[in-house]
Amino acid sequence: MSIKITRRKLIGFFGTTAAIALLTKRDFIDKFGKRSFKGSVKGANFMRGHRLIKKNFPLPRNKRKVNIAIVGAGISGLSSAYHLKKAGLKGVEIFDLEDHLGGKSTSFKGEAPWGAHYLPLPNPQNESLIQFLKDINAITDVGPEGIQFNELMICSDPMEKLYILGRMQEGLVPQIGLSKESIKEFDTFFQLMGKFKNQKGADGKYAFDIPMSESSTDSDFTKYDEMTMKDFLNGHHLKSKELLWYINYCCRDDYGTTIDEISAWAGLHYFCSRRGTGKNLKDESVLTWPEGNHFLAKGLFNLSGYPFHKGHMLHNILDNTLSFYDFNNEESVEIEANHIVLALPQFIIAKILNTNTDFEYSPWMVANIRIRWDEDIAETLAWDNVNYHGEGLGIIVASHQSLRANLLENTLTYYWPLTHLPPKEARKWALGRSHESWTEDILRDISPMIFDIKERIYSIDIWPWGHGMVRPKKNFLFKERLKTIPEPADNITFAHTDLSGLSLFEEGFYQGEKAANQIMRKERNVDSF
Amino acid sequence: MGKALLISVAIISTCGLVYELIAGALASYLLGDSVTQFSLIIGTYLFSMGIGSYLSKYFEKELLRRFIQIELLVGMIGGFSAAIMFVAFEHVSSFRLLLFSFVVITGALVGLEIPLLMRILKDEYDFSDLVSKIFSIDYVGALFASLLFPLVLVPYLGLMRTGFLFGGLNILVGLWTLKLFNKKIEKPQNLAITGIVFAVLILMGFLGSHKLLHFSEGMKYPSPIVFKKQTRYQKMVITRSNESIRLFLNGNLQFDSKDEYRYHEALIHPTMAALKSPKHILVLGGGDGMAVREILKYPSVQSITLVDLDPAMTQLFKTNKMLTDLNEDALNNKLVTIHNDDAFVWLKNNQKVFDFIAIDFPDPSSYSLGKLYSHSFFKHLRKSLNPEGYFAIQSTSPYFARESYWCVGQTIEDAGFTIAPYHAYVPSFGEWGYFVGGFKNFTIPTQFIDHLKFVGKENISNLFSFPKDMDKVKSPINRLNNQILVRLFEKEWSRVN
Repeated sequence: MSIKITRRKLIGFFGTTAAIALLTKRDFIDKFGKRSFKGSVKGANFMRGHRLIKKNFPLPRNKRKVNIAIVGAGISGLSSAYHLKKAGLKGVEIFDLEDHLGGKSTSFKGEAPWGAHYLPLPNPQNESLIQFLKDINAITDVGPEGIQFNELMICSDPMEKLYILGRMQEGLVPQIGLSKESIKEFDTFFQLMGKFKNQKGADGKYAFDIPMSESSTDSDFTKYDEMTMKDFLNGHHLKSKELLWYINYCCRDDYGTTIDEISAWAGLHYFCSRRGTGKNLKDESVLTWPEGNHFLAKGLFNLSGYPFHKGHMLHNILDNTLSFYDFNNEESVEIEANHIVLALPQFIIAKILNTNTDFEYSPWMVANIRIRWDEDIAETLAWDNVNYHGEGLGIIVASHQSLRANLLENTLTYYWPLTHLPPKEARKWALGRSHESWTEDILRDISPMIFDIKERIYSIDIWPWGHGMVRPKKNFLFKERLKTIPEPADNITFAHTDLSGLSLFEEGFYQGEKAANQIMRKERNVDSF
Repeated sequence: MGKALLISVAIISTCGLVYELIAGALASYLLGDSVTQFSLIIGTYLFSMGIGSYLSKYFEKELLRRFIQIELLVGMIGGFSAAIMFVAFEHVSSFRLLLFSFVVITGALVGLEIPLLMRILKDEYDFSDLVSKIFSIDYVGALFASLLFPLVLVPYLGLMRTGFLFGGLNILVGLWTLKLFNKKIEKPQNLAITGIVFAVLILMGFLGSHKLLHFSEGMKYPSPIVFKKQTRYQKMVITRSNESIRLFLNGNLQFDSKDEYRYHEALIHPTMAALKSPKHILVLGGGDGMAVREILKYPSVQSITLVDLDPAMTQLFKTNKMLTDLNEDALNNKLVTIHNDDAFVWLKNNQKVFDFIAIDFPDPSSYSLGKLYSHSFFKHLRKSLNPEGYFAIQSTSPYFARESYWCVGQTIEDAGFTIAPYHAYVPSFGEWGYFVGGFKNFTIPTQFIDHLKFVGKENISNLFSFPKDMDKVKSPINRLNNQILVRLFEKEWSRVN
């Protein structure tokens, strides 16, 4: 038999070769088949939390005594520990349901945040916060010329980039494609905010301050709590689509709530409450760390030096006795404490004390994406990178503060407040989602900013926060908030950002300090008897 | 005698000459000295062709089959020659041996082609007609190849793709012959399968060769690329022309062997000469070993610590003969300790104190490099410098990027050092700037070691004096949170380019 190499055969053979070459290209695979990525859906321990409903725990084997039990190792709890330590108190122990420190200020292997990730410059009057920042070497000197911050902890330049109309611009205020009217509205808005920033009420207090309880209660300002941010903007004839996007972005970022629902007072607080400055710094500078505010949580914890009991779920309080279930040792633990700090959100307190709460919480999703890193991507991205056209808030680059000039791997943290549904529905929706569906949404959001992101990814880990932050809706801060907080027994002190209604580090820090002060007052009263 | 035959003779002769030209070009790229290389290659190639011609008489039976086999083989070897030699250059100990092996083998195979062909056809055509046609076409093919090679092939395809293209043509000639004569050949299937497999490999090589070396990028560089590597951290390219070797990192010229002595003498000697018997020296960056070479000229030196990020870089400059000739084997000196680490991170953790620190980082062209020129960086440098010692840092061009240069100086001053600015003319860079920094005021030295080619007592005061167009301008301090320097640098250099 003879072999004839016909044209058809030849074409067929070249075709096959071309196909082989094509198949080895990754984009080809992307187009014709879904690639799944490594990683999993993690999250606060729902299974543990849900046992609170059943409450079928074994009998405790023994009972210990402590002076002060702090329940909740988030920022509020750790801050109360830090302040109790400063006052020299002994016999303090910290408990948390989770196995990690920091609550929502926790981190992905110490490399990247799982939640809160920066702290704006402290207001000059916030002395205790400034002292804490000195304690952790974030402030190196306070002199007549101003505060010297530790340069390595101040967010490096470039800080923010916005992907808009096909381009990456510096800064989050949209610059590209704005009409003249739009630009004017931005000016008007910022002028207005500048005015509010320095305004004081009849009580001599700033209109908006941090902690928020330091703000003026003058009705000239508190009236803004009776309207939504959208109402406020309408009232000032601010309608530009880019301006509304920007303000909505900021409100979702700080409160997980959109301008249609957020109290205008809370919205204004975001823009008008910060008056911090530092030597050689722009006022909008922030402090940040690769692991986010987990750094601050560790700082508070280490300075307190008190023992931490992880995996301990509080399920009952009877007078001075706290009943815990220790998930790690699978046993019940009873603690008798002279004072109890409940550094927990109200929705959990309600479950423990069998009360009700009207507090609403916004669900979030945070993802940590391990990727291949190189010079090209490093030069494209800033610290915070936002897609104007996207659903989420954007991505934070973990290595941004790193001194390494060349990295081969990096972690991007993606934030998404789930504001597209009412909180309860969003929570339900989020808990039922698969890794693949989350990944798809994330990639849709960030691939315009990093065109080859799919080829760079090693893994994506997802953390849905069912109760990410308290929601300061219209009328919440100055009317409903205080009404719905139950009056605790004499030996119990509450400490949580919930109580402020604004989920900020400074508020948690303040609530912890306040709780510590209350306990010290009680201790002194006992002594003086 | 059909046209088909003439065309195949034209093709095989073009291919034959192309392989020879590839070998010649490769030799002069990679080994330099093009006259010698070309001459040696041409001679060896022709001689090998002679060997092939001589050996042709031992082929007695199945000449057609042999001819087709030779076409396939020469296509395969010639086709892959450029790619293999480029990739092997950094790995083999004797590149010459590899090169000449290729030349001898291809030459011999090419030498076999024409005699075999003539014997195949001798009974079918008039002999004198055959000889005249085959040889004239052969020489026309050679002319064609020699014109095509420099004008079209190298500029548009590059050496590797040219190799693959002509290898493919050789194989096609083989397959075509097979088709024409398949009745006269026993078991043509075997040859056909081999031919197709070879053709697929060549095609894959042609399509994939850009992954080995980006020849399209070769256009960006003024001379032929002799080495290219994407290390974990950066893209290294070495080019070579007759008189000079150049290193590019991420596309930026790092040195030109013709005048790098000016750059490196200026970085090292003004400070080293000012110090009384400096013993412990730190070099940050400078993985090419040139700065170390200059430092080793001082007998008082007891240790040199080199911190360069990229192990591929320091390894290459420790082992490649062409490059160790340039740095005089400095990196293999027993006084030298190499740390492959990020300079800032290394410095932050360092406990040792040095008498002289030479800082030779790439220009601040990116945010990550800008950190190495920041206020924080210089603050951290303080604890590693002997109170009596000095450091010297390259600080981009005070002429092309005047504000950037002075920004570095003022940032160093703000971190608590006194500075002495100076500059040197390096032809391939232009006017280049440096600073000496220290805790004490710097006194310009008057005595220098012997055998320097550029820095000396004659011109030292010129180096430290600035004409008006490069003189000090006030600049903000470069901090991590403003990265002013990177912004200035980008602005100023984009005006130049």
